[in-house]
Amino acid sequence: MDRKLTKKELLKLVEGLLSDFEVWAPAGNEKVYSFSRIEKPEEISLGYRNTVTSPKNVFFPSGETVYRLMEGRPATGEASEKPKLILGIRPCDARAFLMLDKVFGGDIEDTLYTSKRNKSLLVGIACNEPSSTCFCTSVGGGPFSTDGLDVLMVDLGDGSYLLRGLNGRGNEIISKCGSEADKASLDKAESLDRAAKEKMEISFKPPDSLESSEEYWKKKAMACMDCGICAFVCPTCHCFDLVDEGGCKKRIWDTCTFPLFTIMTSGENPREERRDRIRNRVYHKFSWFRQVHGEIACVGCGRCIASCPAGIDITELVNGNNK
Amino acid sequence: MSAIVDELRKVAAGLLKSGAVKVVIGYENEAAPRPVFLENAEDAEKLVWNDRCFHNLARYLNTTEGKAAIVAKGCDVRAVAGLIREGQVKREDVVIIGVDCAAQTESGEKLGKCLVCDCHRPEIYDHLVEDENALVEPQTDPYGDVSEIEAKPVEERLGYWLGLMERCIRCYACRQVCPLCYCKECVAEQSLPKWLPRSPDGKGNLFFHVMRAHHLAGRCVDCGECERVCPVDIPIRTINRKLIRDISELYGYKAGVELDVVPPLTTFKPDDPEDAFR
Amino acid sequence: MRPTNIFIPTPARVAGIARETPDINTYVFELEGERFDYLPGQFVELSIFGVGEAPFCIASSPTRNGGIECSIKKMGSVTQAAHRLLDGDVVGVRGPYGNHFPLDEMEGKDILFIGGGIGMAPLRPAIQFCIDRKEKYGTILILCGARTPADIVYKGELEEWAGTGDVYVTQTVDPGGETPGWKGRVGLVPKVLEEMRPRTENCCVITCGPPIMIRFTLEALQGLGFHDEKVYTTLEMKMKCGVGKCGRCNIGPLYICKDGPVFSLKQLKEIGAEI
Repeated sequence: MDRKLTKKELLKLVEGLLSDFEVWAPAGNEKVYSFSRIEKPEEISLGYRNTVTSPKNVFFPSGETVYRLMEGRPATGEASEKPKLILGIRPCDARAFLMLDKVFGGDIEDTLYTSKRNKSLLVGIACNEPSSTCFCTSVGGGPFSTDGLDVLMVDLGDGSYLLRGLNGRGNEIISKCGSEADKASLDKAESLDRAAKEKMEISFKPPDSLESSEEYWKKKAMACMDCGICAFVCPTCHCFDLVDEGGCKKRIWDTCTFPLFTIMTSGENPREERRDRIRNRVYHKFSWFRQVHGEIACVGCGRCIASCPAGIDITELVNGNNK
Repeated sequence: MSAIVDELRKVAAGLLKSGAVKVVIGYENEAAPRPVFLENAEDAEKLVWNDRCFHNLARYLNTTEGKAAIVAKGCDVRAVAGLIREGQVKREDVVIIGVDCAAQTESGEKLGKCLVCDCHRPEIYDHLVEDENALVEPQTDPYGDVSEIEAKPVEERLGYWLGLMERCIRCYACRQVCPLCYCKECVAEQSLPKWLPRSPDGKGNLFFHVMRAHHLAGRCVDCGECERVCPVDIPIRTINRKLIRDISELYGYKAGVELDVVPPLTTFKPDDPEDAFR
Repeated sequence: MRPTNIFIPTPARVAGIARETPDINTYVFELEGERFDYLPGQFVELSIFGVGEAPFCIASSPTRNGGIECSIKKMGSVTQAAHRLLDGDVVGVRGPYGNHFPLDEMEGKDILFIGGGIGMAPLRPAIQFCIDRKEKYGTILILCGARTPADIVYKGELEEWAGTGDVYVTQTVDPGGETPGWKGRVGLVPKVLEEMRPRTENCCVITCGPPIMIRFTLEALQGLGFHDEKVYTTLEMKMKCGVGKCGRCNIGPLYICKDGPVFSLKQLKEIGAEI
């Protein structure tokens, strides 16, 4: 189903969604956009390129309570919440959730994640203007990819939006708003899609086998400062720690780039060397995840490239010495 | 601009060729400069210099192997001096290639730290790459923003900081990028005893940042790297500069300028104004 | 029904504390509510509420029908807190996690157990399991090493095992660690192993101990002619979630907590694990 909405009609649609869903959307000041829970349609900012942090915090927050201790025992009982709806998610980030679903779902279901993720709805916005660090088309996605989305919105550039329902649930929420999309709008969306793909500055084919020499990774890792930016802004990085704090068990983000991530109480550290940590992160995404789940665990959002304090570019690490 | 780059490359090539240093730490990639570690004289061609050479390369001095030469702006040199002063690096093990720097810019605007910079020419160096045009006067009151926040009532001030700190995702980039944050084990990660929570929330994050600022009191050289790299745009420099100003007012001390002056917080005098120390 | 949160542990009471060495205690935990089935080699995540959670191998055999036992060496924050536990205190237990020693495949064979220090803990349930079903197994050889006689765990049980028919126990301490009256061997585990010259025919090996001991023991075993697929060890890796999601304990694409912790030497070589 394809509907065409004016900006005003879009805001009205959001207003309606707010009563049935917990709506998360990009919002923030001029510098820092992040996915936040919104109460009013006006808080949403769809004009951004991409948020600094990914929307993974909606289902996998940087810190969350696993259980509370009551009289020295874990107290159960989860509050039921409205289903979550992410509005204005980029296609790359939507694909990332399909990957996180594989990690947190599977034989041993992680309900901390799945209880938030189940029944959620993803309303994406196509990327008319990819950033210089974007490379979704190199890793199986695209600026207009619909993978993982229920609705894809396209900013037609004239103050109106094309909303494409991609399944029953998606169609249901958009069926009553705006008007049926005309052919001109559909053509426009198609040409925007083509133009966006042409604008991608980075394009490569991920190699089947990555560089493996110690020397290579040592050199590539030299500038790394062991911070957690790349992993924390990444939509597919999912490492975490469990800590006992403030009378609760909490789950917090963690990352294989932190030197202490793998240190054991005995003092032994299997990834003591920086080269091994960087190698682990890249191999996990471009080799091991692929072996286990059949796809690359990188969606090409480019956040790690844009935010790395040392200017490390994951596409260079993947592509070896040739680039 | 190109004369500066030429000279940089010449100095670097010379140092590598003669074997005076094992590695030259500088910047590569004209469009978006980033750290580079050169071990061969032929690679000196890779060096670049422009107004986006943000990184304080002093960060890498105690993680590189062998004697190193470092390309350093005035602020970076102060961090090198701090490392020397604190015994992290030996003066004779580092060759400082100082570069005159007018300002670093982002989207055409000077960085905040550069507006108040009073060290456009490095104070300590082995080689100086000069740029007379770089020697400009500081433009604004260096502590204007600090005074502004201090003037707020305490509740409001706390609210202001908690609001900002709620964004912190504990990536620890501020700490990792800091040349003076070189502790092998940061109190933020100690488990025996555990000093502060690791789960991110406004109060815990504020605790971390204030703790870090205090550990940097009298040591921070205001290179501004912590604030530059913060992915969620927390004005970390403001906290550090509050302490820089206090240290300056209380002790007349400025970190990273002279190698032979004992920093006030690492020494003791019987007439210390603080009762607790007497 | 909604699946329950996998990170919520089952409360368990401390039902017994045995002092093994100056810094190792064995705790018996009685689960509140339903017991779980497990096999030797599996581990649990033990929560000391308010302090933290850490993985411990289950040190008791399911054939004994008792509580879950864990031998805990006092080292970090969780283990220090564990050493402050008293009878009746409540802890949390999640599990069992990981794979197990292939004791079913080892039926009809001789088994050589080689343990060093606290590394005896994962071997204990397997030894108990085999002794309790002795008719299914051949000769059982146990080589147990420690720094000093005082550092040997399960002292009483070692005597008991040695008194069982067709079970042979060799104890050794590191050179210089022997005390007056020490009746066992003196020498590092790999060296004593070489001197023992165990028969390799129809014999499987299960070993665990500190990394340095494992490295040289595996070398010694290969030197003695044991095939890689007959030698098993259990890996110590930083583990947290226990279910292959938190990302810490991987070696390549494998998660030690889910795909291990038990591996044959053959598998270890295939995944390129550094031993």
